[in-house]
Amino acid sequence: MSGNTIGGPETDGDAPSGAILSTEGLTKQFGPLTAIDDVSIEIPDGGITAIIGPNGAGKTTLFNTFTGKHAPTEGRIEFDGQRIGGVEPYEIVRRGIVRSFQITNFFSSLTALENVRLAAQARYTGFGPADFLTHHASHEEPIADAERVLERVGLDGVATETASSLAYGQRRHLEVAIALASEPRLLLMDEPTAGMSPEETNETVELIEDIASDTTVVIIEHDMDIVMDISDQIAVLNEGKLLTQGTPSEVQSDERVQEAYLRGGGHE
Amino acid sequence: MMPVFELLRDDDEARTGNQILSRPGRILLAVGILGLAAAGPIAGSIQPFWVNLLVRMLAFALLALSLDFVFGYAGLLSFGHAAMYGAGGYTAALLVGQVTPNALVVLPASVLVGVVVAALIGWLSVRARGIYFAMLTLAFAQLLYVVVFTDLPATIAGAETVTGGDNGLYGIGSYELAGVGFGDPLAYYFLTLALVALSLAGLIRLANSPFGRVIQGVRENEDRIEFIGYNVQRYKVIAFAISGGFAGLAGGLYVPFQSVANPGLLHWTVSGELVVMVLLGGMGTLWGPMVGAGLVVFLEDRLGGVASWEVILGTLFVLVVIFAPRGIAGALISLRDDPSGAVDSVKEALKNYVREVRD
Amino acid sequence: MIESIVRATLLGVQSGMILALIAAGLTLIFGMLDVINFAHGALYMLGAYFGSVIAAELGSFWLALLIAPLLVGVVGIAIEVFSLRPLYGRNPLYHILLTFGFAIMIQGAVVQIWGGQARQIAQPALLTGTLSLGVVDYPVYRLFVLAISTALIGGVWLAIDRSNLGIIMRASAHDTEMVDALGIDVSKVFTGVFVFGAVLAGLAGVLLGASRSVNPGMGMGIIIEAFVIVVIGGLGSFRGAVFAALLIGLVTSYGALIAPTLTDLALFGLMAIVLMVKPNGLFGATEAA
Repeated sequence: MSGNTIGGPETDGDAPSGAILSTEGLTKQFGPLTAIDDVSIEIPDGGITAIIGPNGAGKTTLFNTFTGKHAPTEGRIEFDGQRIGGVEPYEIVRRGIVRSFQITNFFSSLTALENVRLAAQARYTGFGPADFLTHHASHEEPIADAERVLERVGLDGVATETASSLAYGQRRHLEVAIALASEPRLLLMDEPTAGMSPEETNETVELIEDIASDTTVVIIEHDMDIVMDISDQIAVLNEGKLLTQGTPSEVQSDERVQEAYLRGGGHE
Repeated sequence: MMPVFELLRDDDEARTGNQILSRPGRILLAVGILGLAAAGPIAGSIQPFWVNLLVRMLAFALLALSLDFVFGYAGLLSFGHAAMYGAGGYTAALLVGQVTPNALVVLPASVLVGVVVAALIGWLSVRARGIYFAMLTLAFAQLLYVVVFTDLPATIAGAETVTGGDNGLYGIGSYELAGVGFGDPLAYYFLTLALVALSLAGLIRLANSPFGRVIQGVRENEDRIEFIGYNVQRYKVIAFAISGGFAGLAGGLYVPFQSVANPGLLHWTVSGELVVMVLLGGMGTLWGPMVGAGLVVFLEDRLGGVASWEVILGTLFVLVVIFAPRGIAGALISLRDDPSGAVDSVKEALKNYVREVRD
Repeated sequence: MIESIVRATLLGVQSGMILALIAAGLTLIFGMLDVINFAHGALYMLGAYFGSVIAAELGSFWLALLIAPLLVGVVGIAIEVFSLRPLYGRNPLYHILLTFGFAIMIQGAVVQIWGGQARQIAQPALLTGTLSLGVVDYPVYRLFVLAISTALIGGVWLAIDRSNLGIIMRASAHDTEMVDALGIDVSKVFTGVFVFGAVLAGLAGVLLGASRSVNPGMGMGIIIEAFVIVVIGGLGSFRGAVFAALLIGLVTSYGALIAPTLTDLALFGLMAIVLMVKPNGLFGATEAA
């Protein structure tokens, strides 16, 4: 399950084919602060790519440029051959990049099912008469999609529970479910196992691998065991710059990476 | 009556949860409407003035309903709803006075004007969040107030008078529909009741529609909604525009009944009192604010002579904000869900209050 | 012609300074407590009413000027401690609603207690009459108001900029937890700021109550103007409030000479434009990403 090859023939590090998302010279500045500095990264299509780096390396900011929350200050981002720098977040979701959040960021007083159904509904709904004048429950597809997703993440038992009443591990899975309901081509997961017990962590890792079977996954992760175990590619960020990108064994033996972690005080 | 019957049918509420008005609630609502229909003639026979009061209560109930749709349901606090209300009212005054008293022409016009004004204000304002949005709506509404008060349209068009300036427009006749005049207060009452009931039915359906669910999501977590694929700004503008349409309708119902349209309709204090009504009634429930509005209008009428009416209302409002922010509807719903827990939760609330103050 | 302009300028600066007293309190309360105090106009009005009572009963304008603002401060304590404090954790929209409720309550109470008729605060004998300023003869009292409000604003400016208290206030606005950890009672700072704002507003009420009238419409009338100022200057910025107040004071004053109708339109229009383009106001911090 944890192969080091991306699905298909082996590609060497430079070949651009097979990249679902790539950036070129991506820079993001907030006033005087440069969060991301001239990053040129390639996310291969299929499999799991991990983005690692000490705290403050710019990993979350990188995600935010992918999802459209921040427009790049400089540089390009290309997804599926199309430029997405500066595109509105809702449009990026429609094109297939979806993100789950580090801090659970859902709709607290709605049920688990409704949380996911809302996300699924986005793919069907518009501003036509039916969207205003029919009862939402009369549309089967979003509901069916939502039920399927909940089952996949193991939350079908609590579908009618209010989101705020769920346990921590369940909430994190609901987070993922909401993202999955948008049927992403590329799923960005920000520290999916943070704060979890070993048992919950294992469940989550299994879930991630299951998702990776039909979706490209990029995770920001601090737990090195997980990263080494499941990633096909690892990209290392440090102080806003891309240090290196490669297979787990390549990255592990890269001295610069070890140095960055020791110096930057990242987690192990 | 069809929309009302449609509402009484069972929906799959159990699966998705959180829908506006469950089946028992709808039945209660239908009963309430029928009760109001009966109340009109009865009240009228006791004292004709009561019908007058009832019409005013209904008009404000509709206005409060329109505000609840954006405030309680979408989370957008608008301190400028009087703008759409007044715009609809003046539209009705101008049309009935100068063009035609045909309700089929004038009322849709009031709605349309309300929609347009709200769409414009909304489009300019929705990028701002929270209090900034509220302040923007306040600013725009006051702008419109000044425009009407100083009769700017007349100045621009070089006409003698358009809005009537600070005097306003008076002597506005009543509606006609299919040859039937609605000059009689009781007839007007039934017209108003029918339209308000239809509006409520419409807004409930809107609230439960796919669109409405997104709007509710905007209230729950505006950031997330955008990242699951919804164009939040557009949804907000549309919701605000819809709300404006119903506010315009309220104005269009109120003005011909009072025979007068004056700039006071657009003053920010009207918007402010409206917010009070919505919170008192129970924001987000749609029917709660209608009850709140009716109550405030009623009490104002009964106690208005007693100069301390504002003290009572203000004090009541302050207490509700602190202790019962979910309003009357919220209290009733809690009571229904957990009748025995009521006393305990009151004690709990008081204890929390004392603790917070001492801190 | 020149006379009108000089008059208008004096009037503009004077009313600007008074507005600054009111707006400063309002903006500080927002900057520190995240509260939009809708009741600020009512507090201003209370200052005028208290002042009129004290002046009438004790026969002294000066006592009114001293005591009335303090009384308003007491009202401020009551509002902050008993109703704002329990609400600090909640959605900030509730604060607007709460203070709006107080505005209504105080409005009603004023009419209830003192009736709907306008009142006056008698100007002190010392300050009656006019002073010749070369081009114009200007009322002494108004010059006094100008002087005292400028002095107060200047004093507050210095205090916020230089003193320890000012530093604590600014720190609390940015990071209440940190200030708390330093052993400073943040809730007392909050109460203090609210009371301070209330006292300034009450003071403005007394000052204006002696040059204009004291009437129940004062509160609702001034709060909107105060909002316009505070928004334009930047919610939370003291300097912004002062600058914007002067701007509005002068614009209104000159506007009355040229085109009174347009003035209101200009003010609300400017408020809207600022909110749309730079919501933090002219002096507010630029949004980080």
